[in-house]
Amino acid sequence: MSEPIWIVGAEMTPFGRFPQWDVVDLAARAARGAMADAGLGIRDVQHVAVGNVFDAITGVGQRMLHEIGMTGVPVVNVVNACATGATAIRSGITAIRAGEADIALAVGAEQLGKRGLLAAPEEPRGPEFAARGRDGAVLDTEGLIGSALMPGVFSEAGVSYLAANPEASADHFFRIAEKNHFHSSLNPLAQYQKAFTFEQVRDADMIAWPNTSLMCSPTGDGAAAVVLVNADGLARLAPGVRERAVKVAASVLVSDPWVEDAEARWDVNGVTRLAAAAAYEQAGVGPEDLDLVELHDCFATAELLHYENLQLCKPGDAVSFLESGAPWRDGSLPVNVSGGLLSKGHPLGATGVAGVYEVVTHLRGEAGDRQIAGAKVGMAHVLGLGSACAVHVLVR
Amino acid sequence: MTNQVPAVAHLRLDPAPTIVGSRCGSCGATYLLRRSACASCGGDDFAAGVDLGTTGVVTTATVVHRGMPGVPTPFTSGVVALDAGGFVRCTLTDAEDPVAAVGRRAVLETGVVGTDAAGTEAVAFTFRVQDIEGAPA
Ligand SMILES: [Zn+2]
Repeated sequence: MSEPIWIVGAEMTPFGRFPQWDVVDLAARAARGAMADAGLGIRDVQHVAVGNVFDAITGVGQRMLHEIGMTGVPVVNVVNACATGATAIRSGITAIRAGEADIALAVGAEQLGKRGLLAAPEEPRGPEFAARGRDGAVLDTEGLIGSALMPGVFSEAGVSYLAANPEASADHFFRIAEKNHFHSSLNPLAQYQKAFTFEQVRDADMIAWPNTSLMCSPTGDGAAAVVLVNADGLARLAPGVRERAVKVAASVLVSDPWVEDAEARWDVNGVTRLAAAAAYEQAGVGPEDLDLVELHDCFATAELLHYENLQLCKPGDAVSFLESGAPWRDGSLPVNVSGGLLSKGHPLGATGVAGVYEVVTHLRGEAGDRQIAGAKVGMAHVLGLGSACAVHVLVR
Repeated sequence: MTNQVPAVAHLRLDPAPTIVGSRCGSCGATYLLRRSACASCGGDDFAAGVDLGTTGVVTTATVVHRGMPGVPTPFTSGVVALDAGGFVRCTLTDAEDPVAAVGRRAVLETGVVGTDAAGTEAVAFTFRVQDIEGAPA
């Protein structure tokens, strides 16, 4: 549909807790790694996009260039909820397609520090009741009039699925977390790198039923980066780099389609269905062509829903898809072989780039112990509530 | 008599507690919160203060075991599709099994949840899930 784009460099830092590194250290490390992977230096880069959530106001992109090369090129700092990193990649792609660059660098980085992912407490209120906010609340309603926290949102989405699909049970969500934790045991960059049994997942602390603590992505720090090029950029690279290039067959970003209950709950499904359908159309491939998928398993409940939303199985068939073993690394369509957000970790701004990094690494045949043999086509999906959903389809 | 205010603007206390909202004059979409325009059609011709009643059907639920500091747990959080239109996020009572609660009828209940320095009471609401599975509204 428009100018072809390739990823020619990719890097990811370990995900975990790194108090010794700030967000700029993490971004710089990923950026320099991706450029080195492409055989390029900072003076080759004509556009820089940096995705970050919690420090976005501080100009992480510019601060990173102050560390790795102040070249005067345009920098954009991107924030788009949990789709922040994927949106940075799209910024690089759109800059190239707008004719402003042949080579672009996209980075996602997050240093969460001591912050949790739960919403910050409200600003203190005065001694007398006064209405505030779009609901005109006179006091803090979290936990008083339901819960709007992320675990509740994704648990409710899972419960809706259970209520509509009698063959599904909480056991299926436990099984998904067991799978992703097992997968991360093969990923040296993952935060957990530890397998947990079905029983350990089930019996962990309950957060919001049915999601236990081992079914909620951990908070953490990390970064990932990719180098994007068009045909002119590709032609400038060494033959050894060119032959490892991975084509971006689709890059899609969408916001929510309207649903009648949008005020009362986040719709995690419609936005993903919309993005997936557009991505297949743009890529000219179907779900049957995919060799691996990295999808947004911020909570275990989400993954089951996304099997259907991303058309990895037919509507209503998510349970049989899971029970067939398909999404395990030795199955017919491996899902989250990195460990996913649940076990690899979820440093918000980095996540969207890290999913693309994972797929690129497999398509290049460079994923080591966790390599999906012969992978040629892969998908990376992220979903930020609000909502922003991005899907990339990558082809070798 | 003690002065009372609703905890949120979509709860109306007088003459009897009920959920209120606004309805789009162009497409009929129903909203409970303050709005700039209609998210369905873009229109801005709203009928305000529409009585959305006290009954509906549970569309989803979860039991929250770990909440914000200071919030007592566990409690059941969910959404009720109101019979008169609109969807309301709420705490559900008599809903210890969230999957079983989905599709059941629920009825508004109110109670005092706080008192400010002037002695004004804030009244909030829950929806009590009914024993008998409700027919579609
Ligand atoms: Zn309308």
